[in-house]
Amino acid sequence: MKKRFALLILALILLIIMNLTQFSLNGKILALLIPEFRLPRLLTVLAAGVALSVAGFIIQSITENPLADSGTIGITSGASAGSVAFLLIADRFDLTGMWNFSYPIFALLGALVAFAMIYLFALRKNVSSVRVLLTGIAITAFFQALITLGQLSVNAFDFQKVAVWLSGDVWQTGSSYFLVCLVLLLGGLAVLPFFLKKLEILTLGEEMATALGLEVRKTKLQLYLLALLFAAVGVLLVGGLAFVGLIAPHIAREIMGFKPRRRLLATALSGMIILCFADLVSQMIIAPSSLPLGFVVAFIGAPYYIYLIQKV
Amino acid sequence: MPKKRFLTVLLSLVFSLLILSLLYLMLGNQNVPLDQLFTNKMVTQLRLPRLLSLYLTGFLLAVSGFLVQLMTRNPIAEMATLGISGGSSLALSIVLTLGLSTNDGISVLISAIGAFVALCLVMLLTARTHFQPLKVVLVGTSVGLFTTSLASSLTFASHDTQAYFRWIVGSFSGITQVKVWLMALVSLIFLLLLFIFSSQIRLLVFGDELARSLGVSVNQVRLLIMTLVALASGVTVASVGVVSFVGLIAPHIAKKIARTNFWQNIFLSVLVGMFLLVGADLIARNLFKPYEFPAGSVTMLLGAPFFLWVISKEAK
Repeated sequence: MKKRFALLILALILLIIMNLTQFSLNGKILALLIPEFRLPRLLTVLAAGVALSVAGFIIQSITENPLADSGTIGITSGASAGSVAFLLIADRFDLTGMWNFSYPIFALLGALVAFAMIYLFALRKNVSSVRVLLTGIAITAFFQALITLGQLSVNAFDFQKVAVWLSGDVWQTGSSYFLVCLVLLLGGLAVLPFFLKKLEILTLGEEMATALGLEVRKTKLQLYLLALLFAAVGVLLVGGLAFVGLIAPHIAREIMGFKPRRRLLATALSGMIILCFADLVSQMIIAPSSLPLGFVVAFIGAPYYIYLIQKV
Repeated sequence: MPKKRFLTVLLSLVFSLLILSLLYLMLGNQNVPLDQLFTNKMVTQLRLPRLLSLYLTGFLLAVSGFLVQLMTRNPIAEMATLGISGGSSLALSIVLTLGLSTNDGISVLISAIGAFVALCLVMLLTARTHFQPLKVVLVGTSVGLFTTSLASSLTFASHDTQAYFRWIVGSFSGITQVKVWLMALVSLIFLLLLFIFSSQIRLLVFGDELARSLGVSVNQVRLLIMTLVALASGVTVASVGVVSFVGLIAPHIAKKIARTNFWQNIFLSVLVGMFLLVGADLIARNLFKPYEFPAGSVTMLLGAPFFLWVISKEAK
């Protein structure tokens, strides 16, 4: 096991180096590029990788649905709609500066609304996995329609930017914004270890968990809220990036087996590796311009997703 | 359903569609009174072609929805839920970003090919699950999601936001006379083929084996339906974009009224589809004058809860 961890970490470090240097050894240019552009972008991508994959890990564990993650059950679209709503408000009333800190709040609110919907229509009723996913699709369609309605009032600023971001791209609005996201992420990660034991018990099945003295309903709800936080941070950092939260836990399980603690670590590592790799590809493939990150991730993720569906 | 009742339903639908259409022509950025309707240039040159395109799209989407549902024996099937229109979007965006062609006719053809490929892919991927309805739709929507996300990324690369809206949520604002003619042509072909092969298509309802024993070459009919649907998707996506859920809602409402009669179902689906689209675009153009939003987002808002309802019914 230790060997596998070492390999994962080594892969990540290699990718990080490749991402920062992008295969050039010109010290002068690198000294200029890395601190100004590449490092902030890399940090955003890494943080998003952790947030999205951990969100996917929690959701997959609670719903016992291998295809669930914040994207497929509609939470990502809710968070996106929330942040677009605040974009519109900020644009209308010229809110800048300190107001930037409201983005996380609105994203979380949107994610909460989406979660309330999926809970009401599907999760509460113990329906089949396929139906949960289809409900998620309906919710995504609903929020996507709302976001499109938003384009009306967006004449004042560049809608293109929002649209690219929503399809999954690195969203950079300065270091203070990133710091807020990072604090939220670290806060979530700090709370997470306290729930690992409960998560392990939950995976034994509801009856067993109740017999072991766990308040199943309450614990599940707490874990869902935690997942919402991670999902919202992911949206704030890289927009509606699909598939990462879905795949990372599967890769982790292939490598590490079922133990939650190990699997969680491996999940976060693979999330970072996937995003780092996708980011590298997106910047290299049509250099000097770059593809949106979501495009590359979709290329890696969608075939895997369809392969997984066949197994359900 | 008895003929008499069908006729009353049909007539009342036609009548309400007419009234809605008149409203559509009158209301807008500038309202035009009824008596000037046919002399006003804005109405005859802009709103009338747009209304026609709404009719044609309604017809194509509703009938294709009906045919796909019949063929796959899947009440949730539709252009968008099977990933068909996503295939069209992707094919179109590839061609347009590479700057290969801007000809409307060729666009229709390419987008039809994209639709056909996507449909084949979904069928291929779900063959192992014996086309279990919910799973087919899950694979279909995933293929749709994949293709549209690729399509939207491609259009961003070419900095064409207008095209983004055309492809992701259907909008009728970019309609031209050439496109209306193309749609009319395809609709005509569609209708003709439907008439010629209707006796075989309607037998599919009874299941493959019975249909075969009644002398229907099931696979040929399937191929025909797939071609028809791909053509319809090709022309609608190339001219107005992905309008989701109309092909789902219209046949369902029709089935509620007409039960099993094949032609009654088709007529009612078409009328309901047209009614939905004209209503959606009327709202899209007038709610926030002078801005307008894509009509596809209205059908999406309506369609999402409807979709949920159909799933919950199907799961039982």
